[in-house]
Formats: sequence, structure tokens, C-alpha cells
Amino acid sequence: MAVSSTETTFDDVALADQAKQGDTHAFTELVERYAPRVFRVARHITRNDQDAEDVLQETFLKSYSRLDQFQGNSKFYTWLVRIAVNEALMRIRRGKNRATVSLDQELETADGSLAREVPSGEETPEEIYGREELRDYIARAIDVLSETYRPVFVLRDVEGFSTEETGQMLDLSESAVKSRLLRARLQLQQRLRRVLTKNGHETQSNV
Amino acid sequence: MGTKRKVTCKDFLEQVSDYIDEALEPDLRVTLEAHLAKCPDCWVEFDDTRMTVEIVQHTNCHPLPQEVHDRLLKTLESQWEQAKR
Repeated sequence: MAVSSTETTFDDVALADQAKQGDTHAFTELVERYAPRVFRVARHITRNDQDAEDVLQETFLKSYSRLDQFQGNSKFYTWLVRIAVNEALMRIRRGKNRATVSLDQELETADGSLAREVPSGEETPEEIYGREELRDYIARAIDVLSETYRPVFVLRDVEGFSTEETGQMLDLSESAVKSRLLRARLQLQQRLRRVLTKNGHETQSNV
Repeated sequence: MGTKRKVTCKDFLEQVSDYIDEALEPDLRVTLEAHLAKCPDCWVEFDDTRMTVEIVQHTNCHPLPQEVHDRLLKTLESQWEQAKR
């Protein structure tokens, strides 16, 4: 899940330049490269398949129409994700206006302290083994992170952006990114502890 | 946090994320490591958090469904067709 290498970045700029000249095949190549990651970011932030697909489509439609604004001095993927994040955040804020009840409301502490709540899942550790089950369990644990922490966590730990890049994309200071990341990681760690305990410390204790 | 004063577990927990990211000043890192070496509770917090980050980094929770990929290309192509007219 690493961000593009320098070589790919250069290649992306060349493809974006070709796309600016109207080469739709070049743009399709960029879609093939980055659609999976854009979808993943969108799905993590919106927590909803339909919204994630809408964000995906909107991101590529907008990025195509705004290719002139891509200067080539940032990574294409970073530029793309910034558009996706804005779309995704807009959608969840609109969702709030429709008075949807957030999972976070019952889990987040009012003072933002290091929350220790574990979601009351019905799964036992035995049930969550197996790759797909583990994947779904992790996805749900990320879903339950609050809207304040989730975008930071997704950009930093899922997509591997730096603190600085994450701050720029979310319009946050670096210290705010670090503080939110800390809280997100600790909350997630608590939620995944049952899995970690089974898999991890047994091994560690033998070291 | 001054590097001279005694580190509490709360101090350690506040820095655990930067410690994992190796984003701490060397002096502070050494001080925290001294605490870590003699505090099993903080070691577990650190190790669980580090593993959490690793697991998430190696798990693709939301692979792009083929039909979503196909609809995206279709939408773009129809947009380009319209622009040609």
C-alpha cells in the first residue's frame, strides 16, 4: 500500500500530460492505477458502498475536468486523493444533515480522552479467524472510529501518507494530525486486542 | 515533556504513536525506552499498537469490486462521448 515510487510519479505526470492533450487512454491508465486506492479511501471515510462508488466516480470526473490544475509538482495520487477526501467528507457531512445516527455517538468520549470502549461485537476470537473474517473485523473497527479520527487514520496508516501530506489534505496542523492519529491507533488497538492477544503476545512471550 | 523528569505511563502513552513512527527526538526516545524496559504494561500497549498499525497496513479492507470498476469506466467513456458531440 505504499505511495507511488519516484518512477511511477514521473510516469503519472507524463500520463497526466497526455490526458491533458485529450488522450483518454492515458487517463484510463491512471484510473486503472489508482481507482482501487481511491475507492478504499472513500469507503473507509464514508463507511458506505454506494457513497464510496459515488465519490470514486466524482473524483475521476472532477480530476479529468481539472487536469489543467495538476501542476506535476505533487504526486498525482496525492492530488487525486485530496479531491476524493473532500468529496467523501462533504458526503458524510450531508449525511449528518439527514439526521443519520452515527455509530460513534455512543462510543466517543465527550472530552476526546483516550477512549477504552470496545464495540460489543458478538464474535468470539474463534469466529473471526480466517483472512476474510479478520479483514471484515478490521474494517468494522475502523468504521467505528469517529469522524474526527477516521480520515487521519486512513490517510496515515492505511494509505501511508506522511504527517505533513495528511495535514495538507485535511487542512490540519501536524500536531493535530499526530494527536488524532494517536487516539485513533489506541482506540483501534483496544478493539483489535482480542485478535492481537491470540496472535501476538503468545509469540512475543517466547522471545 | 522534559527528558530529565520521571516518565509516567500516561507520558509514555501520549508518545507511543510518535515512538512507533520513529518521530521522536533522540533524547526523548532514550528516556521513553528506559521506561519501556521496566514497565510491562506500557510494553504491551506499545506492542499491541505497533501490531495494530502493521495489521492494518497489510490488510486491504475494501478491494474495488469489479462491477464498480466497470461502471466507473462506463461513466467516463459516456462523458467523453458526450464531449465529442
